[in-house]
Amino acid sequence: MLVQKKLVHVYPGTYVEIVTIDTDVELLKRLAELGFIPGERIHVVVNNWDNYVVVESNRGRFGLPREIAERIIVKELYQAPICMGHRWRGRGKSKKRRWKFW
Amino acid sequence: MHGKVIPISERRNSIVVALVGQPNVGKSTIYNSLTGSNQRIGNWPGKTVEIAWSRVKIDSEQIILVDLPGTYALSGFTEEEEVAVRFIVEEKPDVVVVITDVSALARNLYLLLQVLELTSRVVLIVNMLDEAERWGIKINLNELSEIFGIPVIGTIAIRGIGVKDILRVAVSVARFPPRPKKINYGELEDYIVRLEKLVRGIATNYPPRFFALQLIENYETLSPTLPEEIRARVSEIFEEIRARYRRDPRLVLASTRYKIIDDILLKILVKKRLVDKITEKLDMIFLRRGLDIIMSFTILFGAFYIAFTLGEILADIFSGILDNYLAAPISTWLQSIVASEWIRGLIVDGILGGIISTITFLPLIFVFTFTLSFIENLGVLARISLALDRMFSKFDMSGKAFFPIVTGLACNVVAVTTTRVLPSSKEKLRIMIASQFVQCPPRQVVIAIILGLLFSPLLASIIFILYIILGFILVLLISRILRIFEGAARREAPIELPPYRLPSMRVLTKISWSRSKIFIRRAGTMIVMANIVFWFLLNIPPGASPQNSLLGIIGGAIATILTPIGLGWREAVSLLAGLVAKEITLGVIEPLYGSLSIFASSITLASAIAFVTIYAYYMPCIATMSVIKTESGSWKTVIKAIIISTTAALVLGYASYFITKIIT
Repeated sequence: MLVQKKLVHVYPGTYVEIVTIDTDVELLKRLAELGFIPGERIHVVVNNWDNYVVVESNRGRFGLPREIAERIIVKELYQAPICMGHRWRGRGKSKKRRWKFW
Repeated sequence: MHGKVIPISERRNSIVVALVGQPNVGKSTIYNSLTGSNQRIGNWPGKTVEIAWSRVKIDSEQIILVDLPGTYALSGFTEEEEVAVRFIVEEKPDVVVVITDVSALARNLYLLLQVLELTSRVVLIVNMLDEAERWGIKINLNELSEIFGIPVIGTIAIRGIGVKDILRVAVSVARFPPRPKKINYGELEDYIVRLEKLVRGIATNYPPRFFALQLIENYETLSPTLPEEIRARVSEIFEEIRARYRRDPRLVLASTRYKIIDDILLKILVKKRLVDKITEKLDMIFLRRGLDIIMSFTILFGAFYIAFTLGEILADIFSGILDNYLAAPISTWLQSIVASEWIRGLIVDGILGGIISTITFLPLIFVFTFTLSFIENLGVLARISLALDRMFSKFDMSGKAFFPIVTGLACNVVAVTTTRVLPSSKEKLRIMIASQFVQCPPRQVVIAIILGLLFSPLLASIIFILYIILGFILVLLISRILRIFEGAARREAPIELPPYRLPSMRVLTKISWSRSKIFIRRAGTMIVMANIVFWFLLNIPPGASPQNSLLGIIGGAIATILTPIGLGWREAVSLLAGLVAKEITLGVIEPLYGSLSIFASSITLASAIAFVTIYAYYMPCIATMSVIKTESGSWKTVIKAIIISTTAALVLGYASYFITKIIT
């Protein structure tokens, strides 16, 4: 089974599918109007972990503030490629936590 | 309910054509290509969102072309969207032109589906056909027209291609309305038909089918307005949809609409690339962590520095020409025909002074509007807004709030006009008030001169910078305090990042010129009037010295508040005179004391610091007040700005007086 996680925790370069959106009615409606609906496939272009996530889909390119990205649950379809043996994780203060080696 | 935005008398014998579209589809480019610079502005009572409209004549037909604010959907998520929906529903335009961008059709058609439920008189524009190649797009517009049953026009608005056809087709649609094909919502259709039957005859403003769909989308807000029996049945249907699909009915409706759009696009469009390569590459640089904020500040400061320098040069040239070739000859001519110096003063300083002061703002407004439009159309504004959003969210502001705050350093009038980029009207009003604490150049000059008289150059420079920094802190603080009184929490929303595009200079010039003309027409009248009133206050009774003038008497009354900190009527009068233009304060204080050095030596250091502090943050000049009135549409905001800034200035003035006394 594919791992489900919050959009805010997805690495850049990953293709995901929206599973659920857990938010208030008004924002849910706005997200739906912009094409953020369960089943929609999106590509995570940039993840500035503590700030925003930029995603690209058939409907366009959007910057999602962290508060919104935290409320979108997705499942990963295709993981971001590993570059030079490691993948940037971005969060945490120590070097050990920021870099994960494969 | 016609005639709230466009007067009924104007509508007579005219076809009203409303341009509607999602943001970044080139709507303003099309509007400006179709209209001259003689644009007019209307707005709903109590709303700050403006609607631009113009008269256009084509083939002997009188057309009123209306540029509605950009809207993603007809749900009224933002005030702009609410205004766009209200216009279509209440003003009932004869034709609605839906503008789309060929590269974003998969999202743009969502709005078309909603509009088609509201009216049949619709024209679809597929704009930016020149970009089709860049995106590897092939599109069949004839088939698209057949699918929806409405006219479809392909345009390249930036080059004016296809734009002229829009009005001709709109006129024919107004005369012979098309019959759009009914949109079939598949499995949802049964529920929609049931809702439609229930609400028939209830909401007479809306077509029943549109209202039925709105009930699904806005169930919480609309259902309480229904009679109890109908409400219960609507609730049943709503719950039925939820139970069947096991998800929110709004999501079901949006999914269905997007399914319809995707099916249509499969038939008419071939899109090779999902991503624009230039945008992809530039975003990887621009939105890199850490670099995004540096890039945003660099671009903004760079752009505004250029704009400010250019605007200042142009303003100086304008002012020089007007003074030498208008004010001076009129003054000389008046001397020969009018004996009374008082009347000459009224004409030259009161009336002409006001006109010249308004016209001097023109280059600044033009250059800043141009710069802002350039950044916006380039696709950079959205990125800057995204990068700065989190930083400013700590003060309950959006990332775009940075614009009016920075432009305040150039001119507070410009700062107020740039609040129009802010996403919500409440934030606009808040920033209009708070931005008054940013020090504009005339204020900076006066502060620098007085500090230079009091301190060594190094200490004066440090204190000067502290005043500027304190101004920014006050903006954030006041905005935060005002936000507490607003109530509802800040609403987060996704920010669309349009592809990077080089804007058309011709269109930008036209947009900037139109906005500048609107400024002159609306704020100019108020600035001139206020200038005349202040002239009277300073010159009544005729021939009186400033101390004995009406302004002097008012200054004397105000001086009682300033006496405890060692300031008198002369300082009060100079502060009041500074309302006409901030730099006038020095011009008034100098003759009252004999010279500035006498002023500096006559009062204590603590009093001088208190005076500078009050001067730095007290109420805005009349030009700024006039623009706050025209931009906010209410005197309430002006009064708020006056009370808040003056109170803050007095509190800080007193505090600085006592602190300086303790230190020295």
